Amino acid sequence: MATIEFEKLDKVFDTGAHAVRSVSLSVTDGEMMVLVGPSGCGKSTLLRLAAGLETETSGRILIGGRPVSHLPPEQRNVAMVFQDYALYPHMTVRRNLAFPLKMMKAGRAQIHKRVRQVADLLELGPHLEAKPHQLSGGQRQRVAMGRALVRNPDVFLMDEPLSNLDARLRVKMRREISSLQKRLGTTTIFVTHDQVEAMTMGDRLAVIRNGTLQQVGTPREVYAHPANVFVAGFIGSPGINLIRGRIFREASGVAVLAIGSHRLAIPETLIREKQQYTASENEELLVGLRPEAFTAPDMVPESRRIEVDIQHIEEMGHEWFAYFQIEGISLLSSDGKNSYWNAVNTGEKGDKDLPEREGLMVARLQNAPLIKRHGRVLLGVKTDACHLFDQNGDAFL
Amino acid sequence: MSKSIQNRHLLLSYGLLILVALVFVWPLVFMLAASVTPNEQVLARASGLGALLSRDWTWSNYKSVLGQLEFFSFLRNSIFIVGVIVLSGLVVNSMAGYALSRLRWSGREAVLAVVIALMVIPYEALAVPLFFEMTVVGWINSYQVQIVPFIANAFSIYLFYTFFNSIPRELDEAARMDRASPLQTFFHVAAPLARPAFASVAILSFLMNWGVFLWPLMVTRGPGYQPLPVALGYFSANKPVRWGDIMAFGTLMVIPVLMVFLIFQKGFVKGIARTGIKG
Amino acid sequence: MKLPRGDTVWGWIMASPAVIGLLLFMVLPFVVAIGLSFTTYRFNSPLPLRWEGLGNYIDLLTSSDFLRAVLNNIMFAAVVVPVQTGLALMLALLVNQRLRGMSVFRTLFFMPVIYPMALVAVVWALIFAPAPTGLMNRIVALFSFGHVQAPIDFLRNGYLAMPCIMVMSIWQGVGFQMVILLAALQGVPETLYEAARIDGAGRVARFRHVTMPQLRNSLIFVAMVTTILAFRLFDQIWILTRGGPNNATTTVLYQAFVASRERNQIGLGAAMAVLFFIFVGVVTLVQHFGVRQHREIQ
Repeated sequence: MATIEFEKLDKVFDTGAHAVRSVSLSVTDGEMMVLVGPSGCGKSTLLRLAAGLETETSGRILIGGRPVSHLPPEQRNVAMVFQDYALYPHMTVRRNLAFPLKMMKAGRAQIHKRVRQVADLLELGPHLEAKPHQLSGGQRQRVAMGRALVRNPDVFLMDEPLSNLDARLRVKMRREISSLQKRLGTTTIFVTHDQVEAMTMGDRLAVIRNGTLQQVGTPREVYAHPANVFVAGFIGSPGINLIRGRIFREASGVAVLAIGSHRLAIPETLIREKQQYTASENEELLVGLRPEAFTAPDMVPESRRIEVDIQHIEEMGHEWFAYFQIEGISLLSSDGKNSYWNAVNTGEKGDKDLPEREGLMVARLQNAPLIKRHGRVLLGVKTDACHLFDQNGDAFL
Repeated sequence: MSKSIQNRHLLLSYGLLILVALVFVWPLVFMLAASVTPNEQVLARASGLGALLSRDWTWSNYKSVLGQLEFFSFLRNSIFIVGVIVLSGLVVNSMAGYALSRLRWSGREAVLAVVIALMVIPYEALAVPLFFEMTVVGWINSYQVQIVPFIANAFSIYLFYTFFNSIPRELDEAARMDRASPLQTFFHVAAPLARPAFASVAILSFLMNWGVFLWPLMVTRGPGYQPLPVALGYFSANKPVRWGDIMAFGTLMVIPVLMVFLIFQKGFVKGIARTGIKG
Repeated sequence: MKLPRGDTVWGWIMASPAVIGLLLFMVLPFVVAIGLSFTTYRFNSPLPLRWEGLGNYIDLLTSSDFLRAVLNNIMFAAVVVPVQTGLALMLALLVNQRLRGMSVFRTLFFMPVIYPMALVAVVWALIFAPAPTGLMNRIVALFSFGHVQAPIDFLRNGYLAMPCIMVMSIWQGVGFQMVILLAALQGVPETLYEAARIDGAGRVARFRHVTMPQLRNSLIFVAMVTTILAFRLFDQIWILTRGGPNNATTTVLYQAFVASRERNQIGLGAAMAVLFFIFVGVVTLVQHFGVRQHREIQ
């Protein structure tokens, strides 16, 4: 059992790529920490640094309070599950599982016992004498897990271990890994590009972009209070609607959010929040509205309704997704500049299941039968749920 | 294509193939034929299958070659020298190839560059200064002079290096995470996966060293440490020429080579082809 | 870059046996050769060791024996490299057909490559035997309809000895090139031929415009190996002709062998070795350059 601390970690590869930039992060004992971010953001590098497979350019790593930078992987007592499992193809499942114990010079009887225990735990008993190529994807995944937990390491490192499974198996394994980890109480760092996986599995998430830590927090914190537009855009599916807007008090004294020519009443708290940060009344802000911030019009007062142009509706039974435009408003990407659609297509957003947005805003509605399937309708906006960011994309508290 | 043209094409192809095959096979048949022909008859008769088919087919040449104790001494020398070179070469060169492919160490780039540069240099080019070096060390006329300099081999190292490069790096990393040291990773994970490379290198190295001629000619004095090819060279220079005996000697010498080749043919040809494609 | 500490130690441990071997038996002799080549070093010589400067090189470049050896090597290369490569290409095309039993033919054509050269030499010595009943003499008699005065002593004839050596060398070595070219042929994507066919290319055009460009690198490699091989010419010379008659078949390596082994002239032999290196270096560079140029064009 151990804590893991990264202190001002930097990694520059020989190629000059700056993969990790001054990352400081502590993982508490027994915690499941998920590193999440788009592909190439440096999350795997961070994991490999913890494993000792890469050497940091500067900074420190402590495992259980002990600096490990000078230790090769085999002396760190950490176990790793690889994306492609990395099962030894020439060994049977039994020998794969026994290998870490053999390297620890465990006795034969003990090896036999541990392998048996792990095989039972992961339901691998019937496959012990099979070679990896004879196993299904899910079974291979289990063997990879088994090899990691057979020797009770201080830390588990998991590098996208579920990405090669089909969707159904992935959901099942998510649950299994989570409950296994809770039961064993082993500190774990789990790397994924899939924000759903991150939200459902992590005790806490660390959102990473371009080698920089964006935000660390519980799934709820990160979702409810994204630190910047990137986090807001990356976490949540379908993604947040990000647009430009202004907040001010009208002559009548009502606090409003102005989106183009539209005016929506907002709670007083928002305007106070904003006043702490900006001087100018007219400064443009970035406004994030989650799909569930929209609602049927009769659920909110009249001052919080907006006219939108529905393009199409996706019916899920228990909820509806309405895709729409608002006249004169364009959707922004999470860097606050390009259209959102560009960002999706260039792969910034890791979630492959995301439907193509084509620059449309999306609302998640519970009682949409009241709404027309096409054309102009009124939607309600829960303006108290909107996220405000300054021009740099950073959240107001 | 019409049936008849196709048939004619087929006939032509096979005709040509068989003709060429005869050119390549005939000298071997010729040797076999001569080896069972009485010495004094060889020149007159051996040009054809006649010798093999004739009635006074004889084992006497083999008896006379095998009857000399020296033949077994040459055979023992060859087997010992080549065996030690091949086996120790597999260990030494595969470890180096692994270190170059997988470990990150100061000097890795430099060693790799040296290996690649040395690959094209044939040992014959170094024979004279190496001969000098061995004379200074006092190794002339010994086993070690024929073995030790040829264990480390740039070409074998490079073959292992490229093969290890083709094995997924994750497997090594997994072994390291499973607490194996680099040496343990090599023995338990990388080497078992590199079996084809070990086979290629072993066969290539066996065939190269089995035929080595110039070096033992330079560094041996008398039959004590001579391998088969040099012995054959001296034997063939004796007057009067005993063709039957020479061919029997040659046949005995080529049998191990043919066996190794025919058993491992596929992997062997693949190994050679692999060396050529990268060029 | 900071290196993982464990890796550096292990890297050196695992590589050192091979590295030490290469240093002691390849790099050191190389350095020693350069040093010795400037001296008069001889084994068992009562004379004191003297610095010769370029003396050995000047001696070599003015010695008719050595110049003849260089000339012979060049002649050998000039004939054997193109002929052997050309034959190898033809053989590769021949065995690249999809016919039954092709693997047997491939094996048969390749087999001489594995024979020890000493063995090949004694077998061919018998083939070239100077008797009316010798195989080669019979073949000559057959094709000349008795016009040629038999028997010819091929290996003791100043004009014929070298061509005979060439013939047997090609016979022994062509399978090696064939295998490499065959692999290259099989690496040509079938779609290229299909595309060329659709573009109306016939057999010859397909060979010229599809096969040959794809084989270029392999042909260069094969030619380079054969060229270096041509300068290693020794085993068959020692067994068949000992450089004779009248230096007609002497080679650089044979001269180096005789100088250092039989005349103890190590300094002189070393100078020949140095010239050999320079040659190998030049050939390698030429090949390297040729291959790179090709990549640029692509």
